[in-house]
Amino acid sequence: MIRNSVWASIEACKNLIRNIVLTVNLDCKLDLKVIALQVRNAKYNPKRFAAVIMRIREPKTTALIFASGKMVCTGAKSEKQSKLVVRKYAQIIQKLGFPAHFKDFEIQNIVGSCDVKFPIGLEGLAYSHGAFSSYEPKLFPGLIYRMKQPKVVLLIFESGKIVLTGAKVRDETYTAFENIYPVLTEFRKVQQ
Amino acid sequence: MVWCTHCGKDQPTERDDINGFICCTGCGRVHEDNIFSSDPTFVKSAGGQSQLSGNFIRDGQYCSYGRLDGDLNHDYGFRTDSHLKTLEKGKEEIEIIAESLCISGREAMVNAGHRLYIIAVERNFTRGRRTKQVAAACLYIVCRKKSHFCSSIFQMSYNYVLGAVFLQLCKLLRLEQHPIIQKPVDPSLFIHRFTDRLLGRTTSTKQYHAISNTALRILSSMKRDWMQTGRKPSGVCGAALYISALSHGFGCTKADVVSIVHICEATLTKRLIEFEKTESGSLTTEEFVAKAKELEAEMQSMKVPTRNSEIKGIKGITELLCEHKGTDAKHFAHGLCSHCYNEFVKVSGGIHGGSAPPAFQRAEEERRKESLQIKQDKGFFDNDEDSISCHKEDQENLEGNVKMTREKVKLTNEEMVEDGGACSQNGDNATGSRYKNTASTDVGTDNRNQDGQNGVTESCISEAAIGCPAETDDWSQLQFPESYKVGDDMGEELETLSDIDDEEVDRYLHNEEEVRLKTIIWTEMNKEYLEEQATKEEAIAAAEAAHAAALAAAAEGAPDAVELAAAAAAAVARLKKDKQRKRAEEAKNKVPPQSAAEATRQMLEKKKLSSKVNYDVLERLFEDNKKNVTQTSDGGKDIHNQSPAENVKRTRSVLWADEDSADFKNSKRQALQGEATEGNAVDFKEEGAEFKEERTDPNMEDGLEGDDFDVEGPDGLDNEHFQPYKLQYGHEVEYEYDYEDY
Repeated sequence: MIRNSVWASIEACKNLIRNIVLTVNLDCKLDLKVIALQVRNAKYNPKRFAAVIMRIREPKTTALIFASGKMVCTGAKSEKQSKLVVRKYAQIIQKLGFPAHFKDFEIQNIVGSCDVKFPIGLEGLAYSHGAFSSYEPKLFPGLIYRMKQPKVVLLIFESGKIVLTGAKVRDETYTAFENIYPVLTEFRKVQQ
Repeated sequence: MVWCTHCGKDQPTERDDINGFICCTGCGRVHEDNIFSSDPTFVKSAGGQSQLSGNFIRDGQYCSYGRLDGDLNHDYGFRTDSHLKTLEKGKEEIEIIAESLCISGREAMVNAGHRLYIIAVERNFTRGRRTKQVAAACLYIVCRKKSHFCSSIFQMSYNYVLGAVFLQLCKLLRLEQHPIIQKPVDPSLFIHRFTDRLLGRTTSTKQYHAISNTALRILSSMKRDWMQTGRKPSGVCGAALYISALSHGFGCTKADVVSIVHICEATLTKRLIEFEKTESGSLTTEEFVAKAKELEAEMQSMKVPTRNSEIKGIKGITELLCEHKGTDAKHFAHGLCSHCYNEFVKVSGGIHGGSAPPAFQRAEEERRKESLQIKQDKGFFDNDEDSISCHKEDQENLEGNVKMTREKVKLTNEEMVEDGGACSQNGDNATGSRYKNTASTDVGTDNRNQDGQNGVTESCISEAAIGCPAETDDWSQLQFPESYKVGDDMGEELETLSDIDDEEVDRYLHNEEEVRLKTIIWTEMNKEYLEEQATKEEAIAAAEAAHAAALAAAAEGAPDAVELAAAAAAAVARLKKDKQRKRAEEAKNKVPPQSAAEATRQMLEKKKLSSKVNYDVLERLFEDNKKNVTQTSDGGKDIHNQSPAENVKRTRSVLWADEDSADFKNSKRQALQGEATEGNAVDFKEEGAEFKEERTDPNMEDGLEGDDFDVEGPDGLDNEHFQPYKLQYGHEVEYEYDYEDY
């Protein structure tokens, strides 16, 4: 049984990772006005937010670039992609004449989602795992499960779809999923 | 001697001009009786008028009036022989063309062309085609056959119809297999002509020769790099000429070249890019010329290649397989005689030389990109499938893959190197080719140059911006999240997996026009912000200047000033402390709000939103409540309620006064009054001026505008509430602060 569950869980999480948020320090002061004016997909509205919002088409990502040289990048689908993306952004900045380097490349958050393919009784789950769960159906249809180890937050929905977020490393996402899967099967809703 | 049907044998004939017939001398039979005479004879017609006998016949035509060889039945009438006429016309056309092209040795050419034309007419080739075109095609064939220089002149009026006609004619005349026609036109024939047209008459012959020679060398290099095969010679020609002209300082534009060579600008650009991708594209003019000379010298002393046996499949060929097969020519190399082999080397650079043809290069790049993509996907897939424990293994696998590809690359590399070919095609794609005009940053080019020097050779299909050892340094500085700390291998992996094109990055940048427009738009949109920034900066600058001046003044040495400065500084510090203390006390001693209104006000105050609050409305809001409250509560409470409101207003509107403690005020007063020297009074006076202004202006509605608060509109404050305060100020009376204990 356990084996089946493991296999099923592996099946379910084939396409797990959806989004990666990372920060990197380009290690040089930037002139945001220059960047905003010369880069095609760059938005800069200093009154509203003190950073340039730059986008890249391939892979489809967005970066917030601050005047201090720090950059936040989101939208990459994998770690490798994220590295490529950071290089691309850095190259663009370099082209404008700023001596950009990579310093403190750090993945801040990994978001994943998957489908266990069976409906889940959230009520029961919330009751039994009261310490970790927060389920307010009137506010939000999903159950918010705050796993302590690893420190990952899962949004569990009745349809069987799961969203995992908060992991700093891919493994954490996997572990979290592994941990939650038996619980989900326990509260599986039998079709009527 | 004409065959006489009556006699049954050939008989000599006699021509009788008077009567106009030709008759057989044997039997007297008349063969022909249409004789032309130039003397007009007249006969009388039926009406008695004299008529000219005979007809007018134009020169060059004959009339088959009467009998032709005894054939009485056919009466052709006065019909011009269109056949002959056609031929004559054709010859005329050929003559005209030959004349306009100023070909030397015209007669022979024209005649030869005319002969071809006759054949064409006989084969009905002229039907459905314009005479001019056919004539031109015939003449062209003749020119080509003669390998005359003028064949290039012909290209001048190159148009597709003519080309089609020419090809058809070749087919008709069975000339397809003729080597002259088969051989592609050598673009080097055109160089001189184009150069001439490009340079005009103003440049010296020396420059002309230099440019055309360089162009020829470039052309031969292009030939070796397979750029010329399958392409129109004019395109390749144009590119070579353009490069050569520019490199000699003759500033011709692409448009010039295009107008001469009759190609599209896009084509020219394409050829230039292809050339730049080749190995020669990265050399300077001098280097290039030197190399060309080297090659030429080499060609002079051509040696038999000794590597014959090493190349598979051609082992031990001694049979002659070239076009001179069967002749006495001796086998030289690779199944070719010496002549053919030399030609082969000249055209293609031999087996060792040259780079891959551009089409092949492109295909290779595509293939490589695809394989990378597949590898990447595979890598992802692997990662997703296996559990955590397998993760590390995947890493290793991936590295293994990477290493394998590197091995493969190395292998192919070695092969190339072994051949001794000039295959240092490392990143020549994007390397600073001197012929290239893009502006890459110094960092970028430095990286790539280093790359070249380190000789990280990849396959001769150049890859853009790959394998920059300089960049590994950057990457090794990276602090990867733990599961990815695999050290230098990661760096390598990154290099080979990521492939950031310069082009791609350029796509993300605006060109100049766009930048200009965007600047305009952005400045418009963010005008306010920019103005704010400007004023802020001014204020800071002014404050700094004042400060600097004060310091300077202090440094000048007047003891009073120093004391004053010290006192002022101390006062400011004390003020701050007082403020903090007061705030702490207030927080501690705050009376819990008695009513909703009070609570709201306190909250607002705390949140420092009060300036945006309409107090009238606020009061009225709670009026009902208050009424209820006041009915049941003491008067004191009312007062209590009231005073905070006023006090609040006062705090908001005259915050600067808030900061005043009696001491500070005194000290300032002293400063103002006891001022003697100008220099010392600089900063105090300013502040004093502010003081005075604010105090003595009774008409101020909104309160005092200082740095600590912005009061927007008279909403927050009522005049009535404000007045008593102002009056007090007006009299410069020391007033007591009601709300000290507030």
